[in-house]
Amino acid sequence: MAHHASHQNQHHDKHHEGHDHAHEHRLMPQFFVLLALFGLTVLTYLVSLIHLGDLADLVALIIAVAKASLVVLFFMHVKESTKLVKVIAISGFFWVLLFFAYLVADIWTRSGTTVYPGW
Amino acid sequence: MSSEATAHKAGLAHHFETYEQQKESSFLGMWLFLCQEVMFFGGLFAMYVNYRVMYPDAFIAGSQQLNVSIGAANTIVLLCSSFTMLYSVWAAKTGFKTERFHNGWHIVLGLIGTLVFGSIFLIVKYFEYGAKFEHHLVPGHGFIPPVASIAHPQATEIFFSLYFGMTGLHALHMVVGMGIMLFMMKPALRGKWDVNNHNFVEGFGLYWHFVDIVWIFLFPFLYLIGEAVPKLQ
Repeated sequence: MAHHASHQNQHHDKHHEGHDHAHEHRLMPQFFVLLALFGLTVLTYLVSLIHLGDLADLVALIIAVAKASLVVLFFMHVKESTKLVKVIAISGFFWVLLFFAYLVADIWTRSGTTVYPGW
Repeated sequence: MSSEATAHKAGLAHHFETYEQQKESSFLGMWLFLCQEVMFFGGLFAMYVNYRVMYPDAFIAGSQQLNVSIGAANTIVLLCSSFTMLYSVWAAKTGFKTERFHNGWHIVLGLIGTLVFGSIFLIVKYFEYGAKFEHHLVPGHGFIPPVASIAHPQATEIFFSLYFGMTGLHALHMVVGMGIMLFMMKPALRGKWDVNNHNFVEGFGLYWHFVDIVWIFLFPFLYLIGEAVPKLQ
């Protein structure tokens, strides 16, 4: 359906005849990404039920990062963007990573911070 | 495109030479705004990490007061709203129309779907907040720590301050987004956006997906951490 519609709207643009846009503009692949996101949501919920303890945070974080990456890459079309937009998009997440790297390096190594064994 | 005569083109602002240039400029601005939002929410997440390391027991106890099933269901609802948003953007991009409904209607259809799912999310959130008021878990004079046996029972108030602060700011972003969607209806139906210029629709889509991403992190940070260990009394 999307394929058909793209062609209808490109008939006036002779330099862009056909093939390139039609492929990008399909809704079906994004529907499968949505299903993958549902699956990961159910997975993170089920994993939480088995009381992983110390590992639980790490697993939940990895699943969250995977979900966010799917949204950024496929819903926000970063894969199809120009290089300039890609650089800006990646830098935003890069800076927040740096921010957290320094924060965690500080608070986990500070003397006097209470550490509860087993958490 | 650039080889064509520079006759007036519908939807192309005079200070741009091509639709591509206009589009890139628009997305660049939107992404810069989103980077700012990343740092904005990042500050709150940083505060969360800091206090979480200081009072892990209180954060577990606080998290165990939240209903994980409701949080998970709301995650699904928000993901659905992202998909209806994708429909709007797809309709605008491809100029999709059917015999009975012109392109603007299809853009609006996606927006209505997004509004419906967004409303469901906020209504659920309203009842969740209500339950916290009932159980004296709202930070302030009426706050009563939910568990007594942990090292810092009073620190559960910090958890709930962050819970209300972070989910509240997230909900505010949704309310603003839903307001913008209402204002998008009329121009969409009048055919303001077409195959060449639908940057507003796509830019708004980026904003909505970003709000979704914030929730993707809020859900495990607030709801799931308490599930990892047996219930504290």
